[in-house]
Amino acid sequence: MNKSLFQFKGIRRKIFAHLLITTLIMGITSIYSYYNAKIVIDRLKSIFTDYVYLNSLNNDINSLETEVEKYLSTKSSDSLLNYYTISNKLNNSAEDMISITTYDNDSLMQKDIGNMIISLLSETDKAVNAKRGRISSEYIEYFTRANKINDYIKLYINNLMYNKLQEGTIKYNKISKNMVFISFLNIFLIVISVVLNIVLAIIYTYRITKPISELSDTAMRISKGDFDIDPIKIKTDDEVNILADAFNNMVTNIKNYIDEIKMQAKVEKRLKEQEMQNLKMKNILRESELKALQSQINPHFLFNTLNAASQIAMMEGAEKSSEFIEKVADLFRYNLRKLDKPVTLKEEIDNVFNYMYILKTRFGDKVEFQANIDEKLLDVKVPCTIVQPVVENAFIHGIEDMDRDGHIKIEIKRVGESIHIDVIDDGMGMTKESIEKILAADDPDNDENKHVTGIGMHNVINRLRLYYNKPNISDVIEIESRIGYGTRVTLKIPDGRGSAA
Amino acid sequence: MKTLHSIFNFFKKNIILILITLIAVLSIFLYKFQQIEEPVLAGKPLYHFYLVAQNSVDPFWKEVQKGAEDAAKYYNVAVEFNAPKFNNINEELEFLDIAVLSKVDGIITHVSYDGDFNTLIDEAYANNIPVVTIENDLKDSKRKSFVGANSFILGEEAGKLMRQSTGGKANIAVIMSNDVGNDTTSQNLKLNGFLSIINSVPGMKVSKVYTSQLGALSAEEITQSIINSNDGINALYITDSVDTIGASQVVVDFSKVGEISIVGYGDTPDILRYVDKGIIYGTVVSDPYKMGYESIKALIEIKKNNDVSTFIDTGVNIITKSNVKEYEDKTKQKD
Repeated sequence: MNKSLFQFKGIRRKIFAHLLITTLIMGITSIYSYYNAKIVIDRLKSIFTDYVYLNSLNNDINSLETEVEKYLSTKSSDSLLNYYTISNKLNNSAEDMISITTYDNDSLMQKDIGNMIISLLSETDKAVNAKRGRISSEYIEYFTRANKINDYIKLYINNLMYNKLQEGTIKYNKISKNMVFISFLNIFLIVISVVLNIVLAIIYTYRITKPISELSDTAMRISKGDFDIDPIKIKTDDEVNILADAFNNMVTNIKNYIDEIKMQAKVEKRLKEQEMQNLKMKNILRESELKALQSQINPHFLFNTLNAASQIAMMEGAEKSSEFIEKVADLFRYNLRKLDKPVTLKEEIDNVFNYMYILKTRFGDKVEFQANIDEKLLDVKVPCTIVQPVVENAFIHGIEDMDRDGHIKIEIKRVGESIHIDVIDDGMGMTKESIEKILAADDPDNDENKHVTGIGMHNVINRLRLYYNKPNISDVIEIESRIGYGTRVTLKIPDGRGSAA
Repeated sequence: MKTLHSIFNFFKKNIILILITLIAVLSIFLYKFQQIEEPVLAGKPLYHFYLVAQNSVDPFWKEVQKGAEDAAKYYNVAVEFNAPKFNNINEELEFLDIAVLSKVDGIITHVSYDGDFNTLIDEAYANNIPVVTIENDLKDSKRKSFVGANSFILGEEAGKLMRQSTGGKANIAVIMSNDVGNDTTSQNLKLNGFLSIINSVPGMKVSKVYTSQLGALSAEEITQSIINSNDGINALYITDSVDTIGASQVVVDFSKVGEISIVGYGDTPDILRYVDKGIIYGTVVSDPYKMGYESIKALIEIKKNNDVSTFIDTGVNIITKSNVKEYEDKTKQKD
């Protein structure tokens, strides 16, 4: 702080410069006025000093005369002492006057006066000495002469006074003429400097404060929450500039922060939604689990029973029965697994094949199965039990009630970013309404009871949507159908997104 | 706004400079303004002289002073001028006394036979102060030198002018000045010089000689009585400049211009104007400027060589209508 007291930069320098300039202007003006006044006073003084000097000289001469007269008439020692004092004083004055180094008319007169005083003193001395020596006739003569000289001196002093008065008058007139000029000049200068200072002050303050007020206006707007402002443009070379830059940066930073916060809020919202969806999914799963539990027979018991039956059949050598029962058991076991655990596509398809095998076994030629599967996609993770319900649907709604035989074809292939699992049947087909009904996500499953797994289309669709975070149904499933020609259901699995739900 | 800005910028950069130059210029101006005071003397003068004139009003003595001043400037000496306001021998003597008491280096003084100038001149001599007399002389005093015109010659020249103006036929009245302090000797010399010419011409005579008592008024009265007396006076010779004007004025008032020819003395502007108009035929003048100049010169000679001629003739000027303008121009050049 102490160091920076003498560092003039920016606003401080500006203010300092301004103050310096104004101070200089006023200072010079006042010094000038003072100087002029002083000159005038000095001159007037010089006029008066002469008067004072001559006057005191005149008084001294007069008192000399008085003392001499007193002494000559009374011979008092007092007056003699006084006489000598005054005489000494006058002698010194006379010496001073004679040795004046100027030679104008007044000086010459003063020299004359000095010489005359010396003559006078010699005469008075003679008179006094004559009186002391009691030579009465002589002292009167000397005294008369002294008086004569006295008169001369007085005449000269008077003339000198008169001259000085004349000169003084001339000087005074000149001075007063000068004074008028000088005072006008001073007034002029003062007015000019005042005006100049005011102008400078206005300009300076305007220049210094304008950016600051701009800044403060903007700050006010920002404090009211209005961030849609252009960056302030200030072109000064001082702190305000720095301030403005900092301010602009601050504004942009604040904007960025606010955007970020908004983003975060969005993300959080989405997370919350996700959580909600997860909850929903869990609900749905629990529901399906419940459904499974609701079935009269404990599936585990059933599965174990079936396993036992399969083994019995094996032991009896009925291989076909054994295989069949095993497949049924597998189907059950697959359906008993946790629904929220993803499986590979291969496992899912195997399960579908199991189901098909069972259907084939049950219905014989009523239904034919075909599969066209891209082997490369088999290790993709998918939620479990998504394809089987679709195939079951195709059989139950498309083929079972038909008079003729039907075909169901599964195709798995990559289409762009996603994997399409097509389940195509040539069954009865569906009306638009039925399709829309299936695709209406919130519709509760009416036909779930008919399903083996207790899992209907709605369950599948919702689980896919939740699992892959696709709010649009059409991003998960497409259904095409013509009445009497069949139906194609396409499940869309985004590839490379094995993100766990 | 932009121009204002640039102007302001210019000001901002140069404000102090501008102000300082302004103040400097004004200061110089004012300093010059004040320098008119007190003429600078060229060092210490060599001597301190003292001039006592007859009076301080007469243009004659002003010219003397001018001449002395110029000489003083030229030779670097200081001169004091003192004179009674009007002719007054006692005051003159007092000034002379003062000069002696003041122990000056040299005295120039007008003298008169009517006063006791000798004692003071002797005292000055005793005090080693050289004295030069001017206009009039005091031959038997201890003065070192006389500077002035020869009064007899002045009279002669006036006589010659009278002869020219009247064509050698004249009945002349002479008005002489008898102011207190006016030197009767020089007046007489003037008259004698005049008479020496008049008496040599058969057709001219001086029938009356008056002496004026109190300046202009008296000369006017004399002139009036001359005009009224009808004794055939057709010419006036006047020996004093103030009387010359007074008499001429009366001649004009009585419309006698041309009938009475006037020869006067002096060169005041009024006299010159009357000469130009033909009211006064001519005047003779001593050369006061030259007197003043030469007297200083003489004192310096005395101080340096202690030797100077006892009479320094400053000559006579004769002014008539033919040369009056020329003369005026010459005197103007001296101013």
